Amino acid sequence: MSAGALLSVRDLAVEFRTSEGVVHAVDHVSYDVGGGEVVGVVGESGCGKTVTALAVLGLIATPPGRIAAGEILFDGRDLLQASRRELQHLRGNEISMIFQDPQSSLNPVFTIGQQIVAVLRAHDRRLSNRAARARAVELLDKVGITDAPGRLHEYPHQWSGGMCQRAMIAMAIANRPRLLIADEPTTALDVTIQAQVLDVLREAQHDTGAAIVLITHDLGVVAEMAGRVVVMYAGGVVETGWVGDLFASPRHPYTLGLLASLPRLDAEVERLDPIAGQPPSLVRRPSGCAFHPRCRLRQGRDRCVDERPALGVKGVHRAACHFSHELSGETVSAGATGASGERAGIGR
Amino acid sequence: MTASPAGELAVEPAGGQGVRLGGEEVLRVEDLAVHFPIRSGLRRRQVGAVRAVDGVSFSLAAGETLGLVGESGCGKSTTALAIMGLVRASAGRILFRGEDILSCTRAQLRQIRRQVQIVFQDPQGSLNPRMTVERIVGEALEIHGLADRRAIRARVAELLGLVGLAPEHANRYPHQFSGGQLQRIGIARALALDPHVLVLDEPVSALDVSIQAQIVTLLQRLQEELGLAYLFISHDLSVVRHISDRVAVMYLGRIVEIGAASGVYGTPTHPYTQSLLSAVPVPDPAAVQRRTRILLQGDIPSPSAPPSGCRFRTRCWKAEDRCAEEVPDLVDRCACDQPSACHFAEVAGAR
Repeated sequence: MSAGALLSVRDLAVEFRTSEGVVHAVDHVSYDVGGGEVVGVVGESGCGKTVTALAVLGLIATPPGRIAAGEILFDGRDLLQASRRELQHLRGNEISMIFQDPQSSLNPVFTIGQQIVAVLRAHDRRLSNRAARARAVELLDKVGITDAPGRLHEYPHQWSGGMCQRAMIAMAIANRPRLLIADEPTTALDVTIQAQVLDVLREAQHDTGAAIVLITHDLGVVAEMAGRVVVMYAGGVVETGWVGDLFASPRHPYTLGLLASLPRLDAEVERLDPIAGQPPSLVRRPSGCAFHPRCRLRQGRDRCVDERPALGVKGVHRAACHFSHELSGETVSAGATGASGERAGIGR
Repeated sequence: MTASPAGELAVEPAGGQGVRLGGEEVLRVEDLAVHFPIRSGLRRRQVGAVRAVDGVSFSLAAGETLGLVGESGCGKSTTALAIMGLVRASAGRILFRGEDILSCTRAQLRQIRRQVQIVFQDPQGSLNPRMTVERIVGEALEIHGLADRRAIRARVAELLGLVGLAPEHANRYPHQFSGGQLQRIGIARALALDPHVLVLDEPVSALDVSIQAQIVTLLQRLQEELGLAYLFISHDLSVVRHISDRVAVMYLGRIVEIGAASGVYGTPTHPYTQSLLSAVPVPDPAAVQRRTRILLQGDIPSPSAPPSGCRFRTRCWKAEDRCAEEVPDLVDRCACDQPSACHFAEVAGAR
């Protein structure tokens, strides 16, 4: 898969120096994103999913941050070696990002129209103001803002959270990027508005053919949007696979624990089965497998403490667990079948 | 290790399964309204009002959990604050075991408050950072003059054990705990006075999934052990289904549908409930194709100028002229013991 990948994060390590020690926020992470593919990156807070994305865009503040190892290949080019100028050109043209909180990602003292026009003209100096405004209207129209010409003059505080996020999506797709990184794009929104915005995102992807890296803590959003999933824990990737396979038969005890922790809307679950304990400190990562202090599969075995399990390279569905094979009988969702995952996640 | 087989088991009996009937009524809210004045001009004259809660009624029985769901601004948290006496109700009655909280004296209110306690959403923000856990959890006992220092210490240790913390945690400060542990402390504080009712205002919304499940399980265990009644407020429909016996769905200051959890989720009758449920992403990739989704148009209207008649009509696909003129009452139109505030309420069938 990596040969034709649009984005290939390889063995990436990102550290931050803090007063308490070095935080290993991203600890040798690898994943690929193919052209036009939707990849969901899931995990709980502090697992490194956002930092990985920021590294792709060259947005890690140095210091205190530092890329300690790895490569980030975009279309075969290593972004970590790229000059500032090259990165500047890439951002917004080839790769763009949608952040979690739309209201604070927009500048409160400029109108929505001014901000979209600024984005358009930053990437195309020859574009006239007038043409840029026309294009802004067209973009807002596309993301479902009604009466776009009339609303161009309004400020972000006059728009609701859902509308602001539509505006952010409009800016992100303005230059038809090949890769869209959406970091918790609907987390701040109400559920009916979330459904609208996910729809807009799906359509934008359909129109532009962009690949999407969808970062979220919401397994429901992943199940609906993604073709492939990357599960992160304590700075590392613990499992990856087609969305159908991964939800139907997780191969890592952490993924299984996450799914068993979820209250369900579509079924009655008598008791949830939470994972014991808390995620570890990234300053003092547990030895061996980072999940071993909370893992029920470990059953006192030393190997989990001594040896760090590798994710492997063979096949699509892979897990970083020494005893992964012992989980093969466990299924979480009776509704999902293994075969359903063989679809790619395009246009869903 | 596995969750119970989900997905296929979505069909369930329509009756009020799981509702604990016969429990004594501990809390009753009648026509509660909370209006916040909008003032303008030099003389701060009132020019309007935000009708945050506008005619809400429900009751809560001992040992029962009533889930209150809705999107932001629907008035669910304001309802909680009014019950706690933290905002002034503009109209209506809040009866705690028959006594009206709104018309009693301060001294009576103090007595009543011992029996209704609240747990807030943000555990970090709701615990005083300068106080030790012992003082935080024991403060209510001190205020109500219920115990001396030694007795407080013993009670705090007992409470910490009850919520899954260790006695030695009593001497630490809030910043030394994780979010999940802080919420356990918040729950211990609420339990200190042996209340009958806990108002839980988004108690797990700030927590990660694995920690959220720990707290939900803890709350269920405490309810069984102590016979508590919960008013569980959340925007997370999955959590509410999991923990509630009955559920009330709110929209723009009013309850639009109320009934047994299995009924509201299995056979919703109000268009808003139907669209809300269809909008929640379900963590089951195989179910994505099976589900039909109702996409609502537009945003929630402002509670300072709610639409006439039915408040949901501006986003509703069933709306007719009648909806603009006539406010639909919250009554059982489908003979399913599930009152619904819609002129055209009908069972949409189990999802």
